[in-house]
Amino acid sequence: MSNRINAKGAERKPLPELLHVSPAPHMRRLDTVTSIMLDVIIALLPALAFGIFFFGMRALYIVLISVLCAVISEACYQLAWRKKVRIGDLSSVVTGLMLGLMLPAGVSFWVPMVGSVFAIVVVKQFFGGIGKNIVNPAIAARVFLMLCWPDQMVRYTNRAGELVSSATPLVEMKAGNAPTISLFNLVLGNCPGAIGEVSAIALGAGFIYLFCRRVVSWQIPVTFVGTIAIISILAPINGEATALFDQVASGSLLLCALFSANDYTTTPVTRGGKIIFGVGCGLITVLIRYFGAYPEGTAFAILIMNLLAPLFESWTKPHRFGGK
Amino acid sequence: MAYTFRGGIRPDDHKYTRDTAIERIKDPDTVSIPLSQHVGVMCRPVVKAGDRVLVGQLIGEVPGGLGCPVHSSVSGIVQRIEEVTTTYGGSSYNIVIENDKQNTLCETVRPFGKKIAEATFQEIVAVIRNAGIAGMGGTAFPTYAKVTQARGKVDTMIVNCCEGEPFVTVTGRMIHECLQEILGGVKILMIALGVRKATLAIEKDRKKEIKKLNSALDKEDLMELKRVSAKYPSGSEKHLIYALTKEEIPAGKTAIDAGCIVFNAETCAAVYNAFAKGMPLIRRVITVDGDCIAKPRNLSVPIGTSASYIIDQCGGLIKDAKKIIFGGPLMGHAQWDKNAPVSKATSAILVFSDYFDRESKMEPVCIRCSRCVKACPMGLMPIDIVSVVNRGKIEKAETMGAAACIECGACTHVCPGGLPVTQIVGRAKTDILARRRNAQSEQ
Repeated sequence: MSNRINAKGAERKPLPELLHVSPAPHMRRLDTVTSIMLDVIIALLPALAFGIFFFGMRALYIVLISVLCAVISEACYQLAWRKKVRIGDLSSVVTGLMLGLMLPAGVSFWVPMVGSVFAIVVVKQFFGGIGKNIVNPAIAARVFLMLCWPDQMVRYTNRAGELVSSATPLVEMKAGNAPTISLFNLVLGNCPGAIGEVSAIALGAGFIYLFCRRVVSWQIPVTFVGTIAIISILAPINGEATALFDQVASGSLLLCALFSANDYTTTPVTRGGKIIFGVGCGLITVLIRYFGAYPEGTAFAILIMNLLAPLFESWTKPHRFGGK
Repeated sequence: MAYTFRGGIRPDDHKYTRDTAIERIKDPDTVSIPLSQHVGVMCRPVVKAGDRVLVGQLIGEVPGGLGCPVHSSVSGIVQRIEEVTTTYGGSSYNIVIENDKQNTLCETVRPFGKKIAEATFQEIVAVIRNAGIAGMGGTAFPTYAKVTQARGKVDTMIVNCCEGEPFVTVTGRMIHECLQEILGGVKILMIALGVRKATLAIEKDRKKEIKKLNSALDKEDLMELKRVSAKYPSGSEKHLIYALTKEEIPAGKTAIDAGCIVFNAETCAAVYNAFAKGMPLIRRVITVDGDCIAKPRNLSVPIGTSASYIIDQCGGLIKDAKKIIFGGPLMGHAQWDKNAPVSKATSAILVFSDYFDRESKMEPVCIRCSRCVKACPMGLMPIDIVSVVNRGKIEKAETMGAAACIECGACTHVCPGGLPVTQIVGRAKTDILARRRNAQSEQ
């Protein structure tokens, strides 16, 4: 403790007349909800930076609108319902940031607004606010936007901000073709896609940061990505050996698996439950990608698994010390 | 093979006094000796105001039932017997003695005359009982009662040298400075219980202590050292037994039911002193630390010394104090009275500012981070128990095993939402146990 170094000359404080009495423990780990959320924000910044690099400043505006709307709608809801305003915990910033990163840079500016308000008000606050929502707000909002305005959600742009018509790797694979994007560009993120989803390397770096800070556990991301990787090795969708890289590194898989699917509130708290959750997410994603109407299925997979999380939790209760 | 258990936490250990030798402080002018320091009944005073008492003299005797006698830790004049409010909210009596600084020894303090091997079980137990020895790890269960209960039922003796609580370095220092007393006590207890082998258990990251123990145990055939994983609460009796024997003691059963008995290392040293010198338990070693203390120290203090005097002896405070904690920061008790006296179960005095337990500006909230589930050494789901208790469903909490909670504090320690998890589960436990008692008495 550095304050002891100067203890010799330091001014001495008297013992207070009134002492604080409380039950043990008297020592807490120093991380709080706010510091955890801040860590998640830091972990998402590389993905945002790559998004801005590939899609231009418009990407930044989309994300900023999304974050601002999320924070404002949370504050307004809490004020309107006479609750304590707790935007300081930064959880709404994370939701807004996640949603912004899931959008393509070419969407109209009202799309992130509608999405954020839906995520915060309908998905999060209507269910009781932080820690109480049953599905991930950003994922639910993304699905909501996908179903309501499907044309908006594929407005991919190039660096100049012009809309591009080239198909994403997943769309090409769905058609049975081999994607034309090189592995290097795929990992770096130089391909059509949503703002924060394209760069595998940035997302991976963010996840490693969170893991080292002990904010997240490995079970869900590893089993989620692992399930998809194994299936695409054994039965590649387009019959090509490179399908593994395209399946894992393109589309929304990495953003969803490393971040959204690892959301505390909507996933099982038990270790075994997390593994079932991750495998389930992987399987549903593959089913949708292979047989469904959409080229991408991670958001639907997470949504379905969020609803099943309590079930997995009840299957995998920890062993109680002393039996029973 | 690692000796470990599921769950548990690894708090920052803050053991700044690890290499600070135990010192004897200048004895205080007065001591205030609690008549209730142990599990069991409160003692009845056998002295009155104005009496002269000597070091080691019996001043409180057990009126019957479970309990430990209390002895004077100084020589001097009894000033008064005062009623005090304990930090748990109950009422107790303390004997206040003015120290004459003569340190005159009472004539009852004399070594045990016989060889231990020739003594009967009753004689050994009587010495332990009359010395007022109680478990010094924190529970303060009378040692003689434990030995009596265990007679003929145990074949495994474990000496608990673990010290999982942050800041506290008493056991570690005792290993460096009083190892012969500890081992002597272990031998006496082994003879009393007829146990063939004793296992000393210590966390595997205590390199210096392990070295010291290993060199001493080289000469002992009947003792072995086992290194358990360095996580809290490795000092918990049930978890220590599980780590070493892989035997899970169910709720409601004790270590003795599993054929094991666990003694704290300091308790063993106290037993040795009772036989070798005839000295009852009137002093103990404490760690004085915490972020407010100017000069952290390990001190040997007479029982009954007030916290404020000890804090003064450690250079005073350099930060605004919020709490004075007796014991470790995870299971210790916050005191309301700055003059609260050291008892037999006090392992440390920690003075904390609000640094380690910041009051959250925001309302406490559960974000389902699962850290409490991972941390719980009892394999409970604190997160679920909290949610049912908050809805008033104590029966539901009972089916979730809330009564098995050992209140180690691990769940609260790791909770980022600032919830008092341990307190909520503990409240459910208290309710459940009370209901069970009521149900039993109705039958």
